[in-house]
Amino acid sequence: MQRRDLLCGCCGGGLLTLWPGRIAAGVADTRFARPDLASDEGGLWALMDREEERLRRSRFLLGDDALQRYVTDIACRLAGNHCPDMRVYVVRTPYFNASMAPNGMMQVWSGLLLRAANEAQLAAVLAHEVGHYVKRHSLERLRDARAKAGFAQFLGLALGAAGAGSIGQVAQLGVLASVYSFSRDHEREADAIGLELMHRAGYDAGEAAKVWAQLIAENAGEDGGGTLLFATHPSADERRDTLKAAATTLAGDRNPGETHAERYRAHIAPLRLQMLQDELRRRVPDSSLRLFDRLMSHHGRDGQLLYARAEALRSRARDDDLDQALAALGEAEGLSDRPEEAVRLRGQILRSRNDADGARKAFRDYLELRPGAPDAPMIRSYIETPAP
Amino acid sequence: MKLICLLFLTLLLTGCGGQFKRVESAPVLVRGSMEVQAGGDWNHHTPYGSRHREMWTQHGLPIDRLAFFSGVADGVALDDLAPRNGKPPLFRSHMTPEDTVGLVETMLAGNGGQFQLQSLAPDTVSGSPGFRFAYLFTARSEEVERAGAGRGAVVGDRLYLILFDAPRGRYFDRGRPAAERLMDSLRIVPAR
Repeated sequence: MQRRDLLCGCCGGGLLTLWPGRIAAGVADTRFARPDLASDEGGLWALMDREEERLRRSRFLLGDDALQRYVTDIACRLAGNHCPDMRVYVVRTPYFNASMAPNGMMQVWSGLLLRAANEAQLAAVLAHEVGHYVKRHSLERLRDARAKAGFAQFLGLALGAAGAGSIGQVAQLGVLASVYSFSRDHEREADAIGLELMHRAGYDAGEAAKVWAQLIAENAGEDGGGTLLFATHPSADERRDTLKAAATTLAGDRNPGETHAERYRAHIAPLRLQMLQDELRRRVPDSSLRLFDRLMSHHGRDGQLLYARAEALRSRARDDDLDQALAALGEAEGLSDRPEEAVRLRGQILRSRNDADGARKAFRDYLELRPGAPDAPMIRSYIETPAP
Repeated sequence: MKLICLLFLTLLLTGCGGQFKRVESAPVLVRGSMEVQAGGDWNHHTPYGSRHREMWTQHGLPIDRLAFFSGVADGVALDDLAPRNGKPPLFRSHMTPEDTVGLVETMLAGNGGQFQLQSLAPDTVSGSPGFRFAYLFTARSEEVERAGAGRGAVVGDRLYLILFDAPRGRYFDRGRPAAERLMDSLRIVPAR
């Protein structure tokens, strides 16, 4: 039955007739039955079930019900009949990634939510993961790995991708980006399916290519960009170009679809400052600055982004970075969403420039805003003693 | 052939891996420039490849860790054991205590972990102006919330820093008094 579904998909003739991963409407739309535990696929599901149990208890789940529902709804709209088999987990990790295990466990990392400019871009990544799922690429990968005596490595990768096991260190997750180190053909196929799924769900498929264009720009300097996908995926340039051409074909003369930028912004707003702080914690200011500048071009120069920009500039402290940081903080002044930390940051920069009066004023303002701040004793000492 | 393999393995384990040894007496001079009064049953270990780090533990590194960073030079990464492509941030001698705590934050939780500063206050460390701080963090690879306390000072353009951490609750609460006493006893003997 499942095999027939897949065959249907291969023969059905989708809109993207020139694309290797073309799919037809209805491809593998029948839900997957739980495989026999004695089969290789059943074993894989059982393994993923155990990891899902760990993930449910993870301290890294974002735990925001509204955001969780929002992302789940998007994934469900894309997955169609497979929706009841999917469980979405929004994980707090400052890298761009999403993954979907064969048992229906989908992980969406907060670094992806921060980087997506709108709902259509998030949908593009989720739809790609659904593409892997409906084509059961992980099973093919498993069988391929077995044939090559690489099973142990495969299991390690699978566990690592689930954020577990001894390999579950983020440094190593880099190799795993999208769960199972799929082959490039699988990635291309998932791209094609994903594009069609997002088009069907009413999204502007042209946003998929923009996701890749953005990642290329963020990683331009090889200075710690927040994506982990490049090691195993087809070249980002190839992906961007292919997706762009395919999206144009899909849309034809019709309305290209929606991006839902406003709706997206509203849903991530409650957690965006935390996401920005997680990005700043990586201390890779060059790529973070590229990211913040791009986000400003999408969302406007709001108080949070101006603060994040200033913090990254101070961390880099090259050439006129501190001047620019002060300018960004000045621009943020009076904006309702400016974080309190922006006031402290201004004090720190002024203090480093021996502007004792300016620094004292900023520090006093900060303590007025946050009298119980954990660093209040240190800040008070700055007010009382001149800069060295 | 077997003997050669065995010898090689032994060398690998004892040399490159870095062996734990019991801290025998007090005072102890750590990496030539941090002298402490070591009360309690500590074991020490010098990580292979680090220019300035030494690790101590009473119950094993997964449980409690006392990390010494002895004379970190300007322009050198605090986390000098980080993968090269990880591009760890560098210590600068003009850094403020907040900046130094930021380096600790990135070292412990920069790769997707969580970090929460609990307190940061000025302090006198070995007769020099320094700082003390406390924090909570969870490393992405571990998923265990740990509590930590640190003491640091920049003397002669070099950073001297001690960090103690253990799982939050019983292990941290039990280990902290001894760690604090040890930090109190710190005497910096600046590298020449």
